[in-house]
Amino acid sequence: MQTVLVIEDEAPIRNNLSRLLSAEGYDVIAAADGAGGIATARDRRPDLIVCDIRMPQVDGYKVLAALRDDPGTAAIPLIFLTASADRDERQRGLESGAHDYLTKPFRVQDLLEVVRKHLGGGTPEAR
Amino acid sequence: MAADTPTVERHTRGDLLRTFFGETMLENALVGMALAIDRKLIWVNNTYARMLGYERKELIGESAAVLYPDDQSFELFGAAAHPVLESGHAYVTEQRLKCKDGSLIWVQISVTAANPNEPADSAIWTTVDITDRKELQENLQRSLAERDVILQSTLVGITFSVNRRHLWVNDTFARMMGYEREELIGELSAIHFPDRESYDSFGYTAYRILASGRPCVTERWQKRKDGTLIWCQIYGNYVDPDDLSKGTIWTFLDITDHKRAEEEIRKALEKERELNELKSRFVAMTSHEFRTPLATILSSAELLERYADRLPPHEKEDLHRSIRASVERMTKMLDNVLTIGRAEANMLQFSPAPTDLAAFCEQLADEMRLAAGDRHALEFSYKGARGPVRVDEKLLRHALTNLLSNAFKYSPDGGKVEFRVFVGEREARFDVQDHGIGIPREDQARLFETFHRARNVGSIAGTGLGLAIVKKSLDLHGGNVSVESSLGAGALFRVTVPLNS
Repeated sequence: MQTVLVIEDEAPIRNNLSRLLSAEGYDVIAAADGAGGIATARDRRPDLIVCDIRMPQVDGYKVLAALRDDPGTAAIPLIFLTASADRDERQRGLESGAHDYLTKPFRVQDLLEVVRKHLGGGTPEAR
Repeated sequence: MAADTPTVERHTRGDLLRTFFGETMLENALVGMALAIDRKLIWVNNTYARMLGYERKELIGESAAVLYPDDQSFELFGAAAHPVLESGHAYVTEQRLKCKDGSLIWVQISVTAANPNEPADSAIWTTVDITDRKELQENLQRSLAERDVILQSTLVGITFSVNRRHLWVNDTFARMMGYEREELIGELSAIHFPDRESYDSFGYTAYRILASGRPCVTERWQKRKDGTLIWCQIYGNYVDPDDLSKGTIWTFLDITDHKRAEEEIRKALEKERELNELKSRFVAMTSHEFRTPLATILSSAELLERYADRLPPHEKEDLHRSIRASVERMTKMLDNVLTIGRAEANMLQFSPAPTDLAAFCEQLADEMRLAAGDRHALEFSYKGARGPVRVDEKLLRHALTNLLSNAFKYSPDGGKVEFRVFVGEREARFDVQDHGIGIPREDQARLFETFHRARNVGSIAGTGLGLAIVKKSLDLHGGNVSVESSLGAGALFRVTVPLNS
């Protein structure tokens, strides 16, 4: 079973992501902040990470940078799921090494497609 | 022959001298001379006759009256000269005389009485033609008068000053400064400066510029007599670049209206800039703050739809609850946006009514306690009179709910929030104290501005509207709100509301 790590500080969204991905047959682990997300990723080596950007102390960019610096986690696909719909922000997110960038509010179908794409393909397609 | 010679020589020299003094010298002196008895000319020299266009013999025996433009001036001259001559002095004056051809010349006349006791008896006149000098003088006076008219009627205020003291000012300058011209002459220009410091600093700057041989051009405030200030364009130039003590000519143009218009345009542009900034902050805020609850609503709804058959009842209930909570969160944000919109459009009403402040605050504390949940404790205290006071309950509720919910929100680790109310005779005071993340000092000045949030809020949700609403509500109430806080040390918000109305 493939494991997905959800890093999201908004509890209702975190819970919904867990429910959705569990219902679709993934093994879901969740972290409520950036630091917890990094620790869990290193510990559990998930197959994919869905990560918020705006979080206290350690934000999504810091999580991404920390994971890319660690050979154990560098290859794990990471999808940003954020309330920042700004074009510049989107570009920044993709340029900093995220495999995909989804904005809130998101359609469940879209999220599942992106998750499947990056889990199925193994290596991400050209960004 | 030899014996005769000295006699002849002596005789000849005496005659010559006599002739020279008596005739030649007097006849041809540079000044005209005349001797009059009873104002009748009995002797005149050549110079005198020539000056008036006569032959000597034509004048001798004539009344002096023929030389005057008219009888009146002849009489006036006599009347003026008489008392002076009587006192034994010479009467000296400038007078117009009539030539033979009728033309008039200006002469300077000195009259001496041969016998002061009988001045009319015989008088010696010496006369110099001063027509050219007089013309020059008249021309000069005319051009001075013309210059004066020009200087007085110009729109520019002009002064001439030496050592910063007015020696001359024009009417325009006096009017510009609200003085009479006479009041200003001799005054130090310090009276036109708003304060001593600006007078000194201007003097220092202007001196340096003028001493370097350049004119001094500047704009600054000048004070009128009534104390009002006008904005003047000032131009100063020295009379002699090598010697500043010879004075400086200053011109002043009152450009206050111009300046005011400029200032208004600048303010309008600033306001426009602020509005634009506000607009982009609003867009950024709504984008982020609305998308988060929308994401909860949409994903909850889709989960309910997609997995209706598999979700256990308590999960379904949880999803419904998060939809409701997110809708409430958005409604509250929208309410705040509308309230601030009304406040900024000055459409927020102040309608005070008798209110039982104790009951009102107690109820508010209960509501907030309920909303805060278990992680926070609210301590409420009330001191002072309990009778009804006139306040606007709605505005006060806006202010206090925002402060109390902030106190909980910015104490993310939970903890105690104190809500203390003191009601005095003149005012009521409401203190809201938390022990949360605090507010950095550098953020406190702009804290009550729309959309302004402290830098340490992290991911704590917020629109930056709450404190702006608090401030607006209290402004309407004639009240005040202040903050005491530092980073990490919690915050104390103190609200005061006057009760005198």
